[in-house]
Amino acid sequence: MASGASASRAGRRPLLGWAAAIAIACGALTGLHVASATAKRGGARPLSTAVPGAAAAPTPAASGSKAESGPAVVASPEAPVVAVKRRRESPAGKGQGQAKAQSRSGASTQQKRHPTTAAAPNAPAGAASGQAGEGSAASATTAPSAVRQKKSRHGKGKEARSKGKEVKAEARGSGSAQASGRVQAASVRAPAATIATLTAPAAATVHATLPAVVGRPSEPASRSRRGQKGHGTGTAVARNGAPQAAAGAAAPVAAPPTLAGPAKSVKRAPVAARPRARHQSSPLATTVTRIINVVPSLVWIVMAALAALAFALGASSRVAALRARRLARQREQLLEDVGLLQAALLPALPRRLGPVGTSAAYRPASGPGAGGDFYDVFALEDGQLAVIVGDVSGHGREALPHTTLLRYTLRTYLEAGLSPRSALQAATPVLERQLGESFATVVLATYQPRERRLVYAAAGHPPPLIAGTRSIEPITTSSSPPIGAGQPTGRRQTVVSVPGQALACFYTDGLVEARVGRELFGAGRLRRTLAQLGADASASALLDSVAKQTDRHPDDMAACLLRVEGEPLAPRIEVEELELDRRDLLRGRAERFLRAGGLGGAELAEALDSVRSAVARHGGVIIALRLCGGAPEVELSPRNVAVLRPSTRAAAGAVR
Amino acid sequence: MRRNGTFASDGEAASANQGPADRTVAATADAGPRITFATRQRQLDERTRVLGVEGELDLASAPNLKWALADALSGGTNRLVVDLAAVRFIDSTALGVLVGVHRGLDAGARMAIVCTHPDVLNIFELTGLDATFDIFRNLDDALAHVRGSADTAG
Repeated sequence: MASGASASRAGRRPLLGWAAAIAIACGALTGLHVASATAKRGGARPLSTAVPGAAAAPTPAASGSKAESGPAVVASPEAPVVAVKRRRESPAGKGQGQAKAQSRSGASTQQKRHPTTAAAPNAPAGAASGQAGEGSAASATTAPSAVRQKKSRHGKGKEARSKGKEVKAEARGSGSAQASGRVQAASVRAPAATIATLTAPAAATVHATLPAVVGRPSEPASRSRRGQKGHGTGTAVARNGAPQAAAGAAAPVAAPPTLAGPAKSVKRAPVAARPRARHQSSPLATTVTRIINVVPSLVWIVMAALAALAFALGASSRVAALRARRLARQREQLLEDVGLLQAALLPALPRRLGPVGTSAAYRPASGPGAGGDFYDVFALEDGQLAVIVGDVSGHGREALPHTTLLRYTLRTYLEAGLSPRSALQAATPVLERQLGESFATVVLATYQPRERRLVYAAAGHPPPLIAGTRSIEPITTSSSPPIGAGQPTGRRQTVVSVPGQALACFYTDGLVEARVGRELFGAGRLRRTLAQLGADASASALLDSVAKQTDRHPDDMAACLLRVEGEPLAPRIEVEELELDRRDLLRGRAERFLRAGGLGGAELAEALDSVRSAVARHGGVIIALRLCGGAPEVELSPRNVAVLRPSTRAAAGAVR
Repeated sequence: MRRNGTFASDGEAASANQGPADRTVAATADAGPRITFATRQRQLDERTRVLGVEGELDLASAPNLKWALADALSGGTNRLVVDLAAVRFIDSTALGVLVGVHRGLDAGARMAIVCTHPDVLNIFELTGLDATFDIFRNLDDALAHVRGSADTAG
């Protein structure tokens, strides 16, 4: 179930899923391992606990069937029975080396890895209950005297190889058996007195686990399977090469296993050292071990699963924390970007530029649409005032460099003295090369305070609202396309006369595209809002008002207001310009433009004829539709590239 | 295949629907079900497709429009009619998508737009994109244009 949960989660969070799966796998393995270990321990225990008894009675484990674990048994010649038995070696002891058993005398020597064995002198029969290498015991038949003479080498010494130890058993003089480890030396002396004494010469270094098994003298080695009957006294020197018993257990080696009574010829005296002995020595460890042993494996598995679950939850929490931190970082970065945007692209405007009051405001969209709008208002050399308001496609960080590029490029052309339309025409190829896939809508305007004339040109951008005692209605047909749309732009320009008080509002489409329910806010509402705000309206007040009236603002809103003071005279459109080429003519743009300007009938037909002939002759033409009262007047001029500011009349006269 | 009942762009061209590819993709833009954007693609012949669009084309639906256009122009199609007759509103972002696709057309490929809604037409006019796109008032003219039998935009 835990794995099921983690698996379903893995679909969403691969990392977490993997972690959980690994954790569960680990938990399951741990459970199995523990279970098996428990089983092993349970099996091992009887053997270990049986040690004392087993020593007396040769246990199967101790019998010769296992060469590696058998004790070394030295049967002294005089001792009827010398049975030396080693406990089974601990698992740690396996594989450490080779044990060599040499029986130098006739005494039977059996080697065991760990064991140091002492042979009891005077034992009638040497009972080697331990498993000696095959024949090792057999080799040590009866050679009592040989023992003393150290004829062991001639005797049928045998080498039993078992990992980890080298045991040398030597029978020396009568009645004494000495066992010595290789590193440590544990000597066991078994005087004829039936007491085997184990002495640990180098107590500190003695590697404990040397149970010395002393066979009692005078005891028949009735049970030793490979028991040898040795006579005479012998000294068994066992060199135990297995240091694993080590760990501090040394000292107790001296414990002489005294075997009293008619033991069954072999007794085991576990001398300190063994790991188990250590465990058993600590009540706490014992308790814990006992508890562990009784925990069923199912519980282990459940515990492992719970641990895995805890691990998975922890990992999940960690991942969530990391994600939250990352999001917070990104948010910080975005806010920083907005700050940069404000600082670099939205300049602080003076309240007045010459005779004109100015204000501007920017309200970023509350969502992914933020960024991309820009504006600028600045004074030109000759006392004119210029306005740039635009919107770059794309939002956020990627829009920032483009807004900067547009704003300063367009500003440069305006400051160079070009009219808004010409500035657009000249800047567009430059900008398109750098905009890449993006495009931009923009409106440029200049205001000449002396003549009270506002000239603006838009590229894909809504025209400004100009409101005084009444609003003007510019012609919007045949507008210029945006910069970067793949078409030539800067085709249209409008000249507005502002004789009296008026408010010109340049804005981005975020205002008219704000939503009121299902509808757009629209230019109509914007115009009414502007009128309500009155002559002293500021851009920020306008944006606030729009924001109040709308539900959603999916795009940025930027507005720039020019406030012209004066008498209550209505602004009016003086000239509407349109530049055409052959393609535009085919698309009917000229006709629509002229119709929108109020032409019709014969006038229209005549004008169109003139336009066609001019286009045919020059490849392009500029139509200037003069709307200064009365009937509209059409003025054609050959297409030119740069129109010198400020007068469109002058431009019209400038023929290549 | 019609996901939203008000889809209104099939007319007579439905009879010309010979191709097997006839897919509709609907996406709910923004929060709330009221603003829905859907596209439906019809393959008229191996080179001609009509992409019908319904709903509002704005910041939220512009990415879907982009993918739909890219999908419509895949597989050998080089004559595409984008039917915006059922579109009530189009904003600058969606216009940007259309501009980008139009600009990226292969040489020889043609793209026409069907548009009847006055507000949408006004937006095309105001932004000057009526000079960029070939905009028609009905599907037949648009199909005739992309198939080369008509050369002038309405």
